[in-house]
Amino acid sequence: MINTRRPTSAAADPLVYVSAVSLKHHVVRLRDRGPVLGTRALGAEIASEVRASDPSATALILDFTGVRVASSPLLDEIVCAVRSSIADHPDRYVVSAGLNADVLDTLELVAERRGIALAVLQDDRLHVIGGKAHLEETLAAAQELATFTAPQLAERLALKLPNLHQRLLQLQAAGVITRADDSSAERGRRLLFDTPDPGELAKSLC
Amino acid sequence: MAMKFREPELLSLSGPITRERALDALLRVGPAVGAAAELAMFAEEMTDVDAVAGAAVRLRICRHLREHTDGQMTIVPPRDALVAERLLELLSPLPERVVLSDGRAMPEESRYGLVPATLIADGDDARLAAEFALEACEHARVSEVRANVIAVTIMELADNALAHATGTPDPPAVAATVTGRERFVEIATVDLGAGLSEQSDCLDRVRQIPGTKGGNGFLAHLIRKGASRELQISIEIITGVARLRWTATRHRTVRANYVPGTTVIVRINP
Repeated sequence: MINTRRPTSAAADPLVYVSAVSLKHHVVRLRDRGPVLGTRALGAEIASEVRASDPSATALILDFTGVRVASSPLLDEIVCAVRSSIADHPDRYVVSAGLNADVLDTLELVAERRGIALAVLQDDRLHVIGGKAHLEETLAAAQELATFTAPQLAERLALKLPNLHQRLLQLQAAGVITRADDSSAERGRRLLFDTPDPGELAKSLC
Repeated sequence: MAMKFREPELLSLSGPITRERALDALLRVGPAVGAAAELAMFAEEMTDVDAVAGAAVRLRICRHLREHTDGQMTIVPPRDALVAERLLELLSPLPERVVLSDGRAMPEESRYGLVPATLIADGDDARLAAEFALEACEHARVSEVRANVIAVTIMELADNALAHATGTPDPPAVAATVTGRERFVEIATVDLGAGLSEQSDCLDRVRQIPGTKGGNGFLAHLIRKGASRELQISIEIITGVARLRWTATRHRTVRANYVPGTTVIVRINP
C-alpha cells in the first residue's frame, strides 16, 4: 500500500515514493451504539464488527466521535479484536480516532494491561499508545517521510538497522505502518514502509 | 374485610447514618420472621445520610422484599427536614410495597441525589446508571470534564461490584450525591459479596491492593486521571474488618469493626 500525499516533496526528493492508489476506509462508528459504551457483551458485538470489517480497505478506523464514556471491559474486547485484525490483515492501517480525554485514558489503560500498542489519531496527528515512548518518536519520524525504506528511517533517527527493525515491527503490530515489496528495487528484495496520512484519515470521521 | 396481621420487624436508625454505621445498621442479618412480615424503619432520629446509606437502604429493601414475598416496608422519615429530603431523594422512586408512614409525596426534583440508589443486576444496568449520571451532572451544573469522570467511575465501580457479588442473593447497589456550591460529588457502590470481607486475611488483601504508582487497576488509574485533570479524587474501601483510604499521596489500610460485603466510595471534587 503506497501513500498518495506530498507530491511536491516527492518531486524534490527522489527518496520519497508516491503513488495514486485510491484510499478506501472502513469506518466503525461507535457513536451509533450511544454516548455511553459499557458491558463486555456490547464490546464483543463491536469486536465482531471489527473482525468482519472490509479486508480490502486501506484503513480500518474506529471512530469514537460523540462517545463520552467507555468502560474498560468493553474496550478490552475491542482492543483484542483490533490486535487480531491487524495480525490477519497486516497491509491495512487500524486507527482509533475521535477519542475524548476520558476514553483515550481508559483505552490507554486497557492497552497497557494487555501489552498492546495501538494507533490513535489525535489533534491531527498519529500517536501510539500502550507502547514504549521511543515508538512515538519513531512514528513521528516515519510520518515525516510517509513512505520510506528502513535505511532511510534508520539514518534519520541515527539508529542501527536491527534496532529500527524491532521498532518497525512494533509499529506494524500497532496498525500504523504497512510494508510492501519495492518493485523498483534493481537488485534483491527491498521493503517499502508506509504510514497513513492523518488528514486523509480525518476526512472519514463524523 | 378483616385486616391482615403482619408480623413486624423493627429497625431503628438514629444519629448520623453514614459509612460503616449505615452498613452495620442496615445490612446486619436480623432474626427470621414470617413471609408476610412488615419491616418498619424508624429514621426519625437520623441526623445525617450519605450515598452509602442510600445504597444500603436500597439493599435492605431488596432483601426484605425478597425474603418476605407478601411483606411490605414502612419508612418513618427523619424529623430533620434536610436529612429527610436527602434520604428520600436517594430512595426515589420507592419500589412497590414500600410506603412512607406520613404518606408524603416523594421529592420531584433532586438536589442531593445525583444518582438515586439503584440496584445493578447486570452490565446494562451499570451502563444505564452512567448514562443517567451524565444527564444528572448536566442538570446539576457539574462540568463536562468531571461529568465524564463521574460516569465512567459509576460504570466501572458497578461492573466491579457485579464481579464481586457473584453468588449473592441480592445485586449490588450504586448511589451518587452532589453537595455544596462546589458541587462535591460522592459515589458509592455496596455489594454483599463475601469473597473479600469474610476472609481471615481480609486486612492483608486490602493492604496489598497496588497503590497509584504501581497499580494498573481502574482505581489506581482513576487517581492518576484525577491528578492529570486537576481533580481531587479520594477513594475509601470498606470491607470486613479492613478500611482503605486512598488518595494521590496516601494509601493506608487500618483495622476496624466488621461490616458485611464490600463498599467502595469515590469522591471526585474540583
